[in-house]
Amino acid sequence: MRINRNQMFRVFSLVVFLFLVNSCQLDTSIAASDANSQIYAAALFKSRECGGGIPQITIAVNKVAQRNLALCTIAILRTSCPFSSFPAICLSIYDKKPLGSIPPFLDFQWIQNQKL
Amino acid sequence: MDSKPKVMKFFFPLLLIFFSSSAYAIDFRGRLYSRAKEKGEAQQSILIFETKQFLQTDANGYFEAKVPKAGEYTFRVIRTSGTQEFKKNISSDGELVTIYTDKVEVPKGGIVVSGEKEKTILSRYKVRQDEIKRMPGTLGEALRGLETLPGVVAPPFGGGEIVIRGADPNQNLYLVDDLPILYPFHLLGLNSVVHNDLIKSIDLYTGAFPSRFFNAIGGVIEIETVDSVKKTGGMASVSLFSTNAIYQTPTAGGKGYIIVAGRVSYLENTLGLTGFVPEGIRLPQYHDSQVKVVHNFNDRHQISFTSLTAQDGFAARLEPRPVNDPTQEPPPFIAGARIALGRGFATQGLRYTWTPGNKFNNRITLIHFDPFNKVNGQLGSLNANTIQRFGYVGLRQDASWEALDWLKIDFGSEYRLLDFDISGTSVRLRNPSNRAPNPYDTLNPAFESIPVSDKPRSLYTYGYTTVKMRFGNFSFEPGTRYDYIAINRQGVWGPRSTVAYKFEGIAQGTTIFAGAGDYFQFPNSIAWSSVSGNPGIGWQKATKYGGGIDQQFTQEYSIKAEVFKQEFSSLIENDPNISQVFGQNPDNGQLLSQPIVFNRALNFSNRGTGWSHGYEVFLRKQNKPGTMDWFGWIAYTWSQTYRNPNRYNPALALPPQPILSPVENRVLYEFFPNSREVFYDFDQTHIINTVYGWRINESYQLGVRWQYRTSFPITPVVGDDGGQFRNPATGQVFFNRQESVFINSARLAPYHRLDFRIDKFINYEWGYMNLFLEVINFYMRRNQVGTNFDEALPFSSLNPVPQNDFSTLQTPGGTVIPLFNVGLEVKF
Repeated sequence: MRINRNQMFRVFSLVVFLFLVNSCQLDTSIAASDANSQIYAAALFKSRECGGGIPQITIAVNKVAQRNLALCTIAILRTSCPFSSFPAICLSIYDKKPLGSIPPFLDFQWIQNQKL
Repeated sequence: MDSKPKVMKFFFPLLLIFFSSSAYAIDFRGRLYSRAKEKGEAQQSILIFETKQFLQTDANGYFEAKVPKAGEYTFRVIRTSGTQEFKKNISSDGELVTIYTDKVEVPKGGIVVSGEKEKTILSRYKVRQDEIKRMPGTLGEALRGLETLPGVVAPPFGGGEIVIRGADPNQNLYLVDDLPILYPFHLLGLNSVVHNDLIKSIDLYTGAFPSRFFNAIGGVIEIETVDSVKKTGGMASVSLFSTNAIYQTPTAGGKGYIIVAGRVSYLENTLGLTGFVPEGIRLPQYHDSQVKVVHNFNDRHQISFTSLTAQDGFAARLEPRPVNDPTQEPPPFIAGARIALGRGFATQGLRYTWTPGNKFNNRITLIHFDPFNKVNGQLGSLNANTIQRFGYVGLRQDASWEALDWLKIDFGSEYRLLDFDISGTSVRLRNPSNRAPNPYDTLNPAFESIPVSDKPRSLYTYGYTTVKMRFGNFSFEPGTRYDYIAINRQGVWGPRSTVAYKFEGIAQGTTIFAGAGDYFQFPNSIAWSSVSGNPGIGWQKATKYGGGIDQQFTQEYSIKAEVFKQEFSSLIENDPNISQVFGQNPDNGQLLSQPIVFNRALNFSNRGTGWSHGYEVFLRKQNKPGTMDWFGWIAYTWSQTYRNPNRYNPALALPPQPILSPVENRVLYEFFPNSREVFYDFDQTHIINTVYGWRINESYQLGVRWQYRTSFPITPVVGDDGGQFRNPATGQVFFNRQESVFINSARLAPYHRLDFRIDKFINYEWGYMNLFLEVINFYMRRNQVGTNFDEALPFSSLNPVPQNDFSTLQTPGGTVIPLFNVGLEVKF
């Protein structure tokens, strides 16, 4: 059977369509080793700023939601001295689901200073 | 989270537009047209074979018909002398289908590379406007098609400029009908400053170019505009970024013509409304215009006027507003910063062309070029506010004389008055080796302000000649030029030459060729200003060598291969160490109190050197005009490019040096430069470009393009400064990155990308509509073009992260999708 130009074009269109429908999805979670590297770097900065050592470190054991890691890292960088323990929000790194938006009645400055 | 339904919602309407075939009956008009007679064929009988429908054309050759659904149909024209059969595609209601009975139709928009015998074969690639206009991955800009040619690198974040055989983008020369333009693309590089349909052809000279081109040590992009208008018409095109239009009409009974074209952008009203643009950023606004008026008094005398203008603006003000979610804050490094950029140019050319016969031609052109750049910005304690105008008025003459059958001479000259006006205060790096400068460090500032107000004027003049000798199949074209700039009394000779020999017998012919030459470029206005720069600054120089072979297999297939080497010297560098023992105080405010300063900084020197070498292979297949055959090419380039600023870099000193005084620094700089030769920022070892085009039928055209490139070299980030500084605007700490002393010593993963474009043509009596869908990065590769260090976070294994190029689109749900571009073009 001879395939004409229109049929070839339709076949091409179908291939394009199926390819696009099955477009890949990106896993945005962070590997535990990378998360630990970032948390350690932030804690090292804070301990130098405040004086003293790094408190018992929070360690990620599984993949971490990108947003949760970002909030924990920023909280460490901004928490008040002395740096004797990690901000409580860093517990979220054990939750695989990303935290939702911060409610307007909660001030992040207050959150960052709630420590474990 | 599964975001596929959202993706489907996005893709489906786009695909529907192009791939839908009507399930209902289609009424259309047809016309039987004789190209030889230039009129419709009246009273002819036509049979649509599939529907068994008989039709009759009217007095103008038109007929009306109906088919059950879209598709290809067979039209039989029944005459007493016999029948003719034509296959035509019917796709939409109201469509006009023209059947040419005595001449095969030339497909619109075919992408074919063509050669031209009259110009040098060495390091030159020619493309016609219709060959690259519909190339995939170009966002509909014909000029971007140059990126697929051998020897060309497209930097990822540039404004569409190109790197040719290792030369900086600002070392190239863009000419439109031999008139200058300041920049080829508007900000962001989405649109060019010359309308697609004003372009007739583009010649890209990548190596040793002829002597009539000057002031470039990179390549030359010679854009020739339309030179004939036979009937009134126009084109309008709408896209997500801008709208452009062109109108052209013959004048004076066909003795001349007028072409008017322009573009205006509205990114702020399209992309700006999507919510993806951060607050405080006003997307670039730009517009351009082109006017060409030509009048031929007779065969001997022609006068033309050309005007080219463009203007761009961009502004951003990142207010440090408190945000409850810290992940939504602007980066701490730039919070509180503001910037306003403006640039533009206006070029006018009045040209008289005298052609007394076939053997002599002379052009005289009066040129007025008025470009400007404005910068007004603040970051930390840095404040820059400069306005530069660096225009000129020139009178240029170009002649071509065929003295003998074997001898042709090109010669020309120009007298140009440079008139520069610079005002304001600029900011520069105190140590250009510092690749991570900190604008908030007030104890050991990385930047310093320099006054730049100056109004230098100078005469610039040149003369050139090329002697073209042909003896049988052998050609020899020596040439030279002399350029002189009065302000620093510097003149430079630029000899150059090409030789070529064509062997008959092997298929359609084999040509071997070679060439070499010296090329120069004079410095910009700030570099040779007596206030802000070095009045003794010299010309940048490149010596180019190249040679190769061109084999024509058939009329359709050919291959061209070239090897090249380019040596760059006297490159202008931002140089904090060069100084004169004493000189006039550049700060006008202190002229009375301290008229003379010692160790006066000159800021710019000619110490830079570099070189590049490589080879290129260009295999192409053309389609025969009038057929719907496929066409395309494969371009492969292997190259290496190096640079050395020839400075003293304390970080490279062994053993490590203590902090040195300025005098000690100057001594080391003068006698012990220790900077190393490193890969050039845009070095790419392997570049492959493949282009494929297929005119499927009268209604559809398909284009596919695949490219592969070695990654650009990057300088690894090896740490941060420990968070020593805070942004006063927000009080937040930021981390200044520390880079390796081994500059450009690492590379990322290779870059490769597949793009395609589908054009749908809907033909009407008055012209046609061209609807197109362009899909960029079809297989959704995350192509990396660098690394991104987030100054809000300390250095870690997550910081820096690879930075993807613009074609890697990611939805908020994490799905990577191709970049879609849709557009509509109407030709009337």
